Amino acid sequence: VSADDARGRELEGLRPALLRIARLHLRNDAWAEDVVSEALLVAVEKAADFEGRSAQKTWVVGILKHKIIDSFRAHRREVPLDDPDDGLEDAVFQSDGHYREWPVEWVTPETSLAQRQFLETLDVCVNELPSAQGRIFLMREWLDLSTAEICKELAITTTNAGVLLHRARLRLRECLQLRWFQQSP
Amino acid sequence: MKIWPNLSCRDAAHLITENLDRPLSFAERGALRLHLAICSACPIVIRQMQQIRDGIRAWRDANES
Repeated sequence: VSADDARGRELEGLRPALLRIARLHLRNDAWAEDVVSEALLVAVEKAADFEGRSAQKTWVVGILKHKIIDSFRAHRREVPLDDPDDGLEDAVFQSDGHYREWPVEWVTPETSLAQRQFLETLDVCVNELPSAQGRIFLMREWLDLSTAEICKELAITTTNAGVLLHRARLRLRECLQLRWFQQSP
Repeated sequence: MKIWPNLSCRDAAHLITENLDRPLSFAERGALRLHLAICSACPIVIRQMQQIRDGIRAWRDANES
């Protein structure tokens, strides 16, 4: 078995993990398959240069993130930005602007088991965000893009981006309150 | 959003989340500070929003490595 074959197989083994990440961001299976294949191609081509530097997966994920942003740019006219979630604030706040349910302090999970379970809950909650909110939220918080960069990539206004980010954060807060903090030990 | 004479928690929530994405203006900072001085709910929400951000970072790192 040549070194190239072994390397190729090792990279191919990353495909499921990469697909998970790409699907989270793009929320479109076909686009996700495309970016993962592109990222793996680049990785195979450049594998010889990479040899032995940082962790391989981290390196390939770095390539994937660039491909994800390229994909947003290429598909920006097809990325739906309509958000069905416009009743959210009325569900969270009374008509006088007070919280319907008084916020309670969240206790950060301490043990590594609790921490892992918390991250699983967070995963569920991010996946449950309406797609326009989920995309933009992860561009901001996972890909570390600024609002200005997000607006440029998706060709949307600052106001539009602000509304979606606000709703995403409110909705995540509601989801975590319900699914984690209400029943955590 | 009206920031004068005082914010509701609903208005404050906008400033709290927007502050995660951009620096607030002088007027916005002042209005938020005034609100936080008399509200016991919103400081909790500020900490929760930070906990969400920290959680997302940890979740991202777990997925990327």
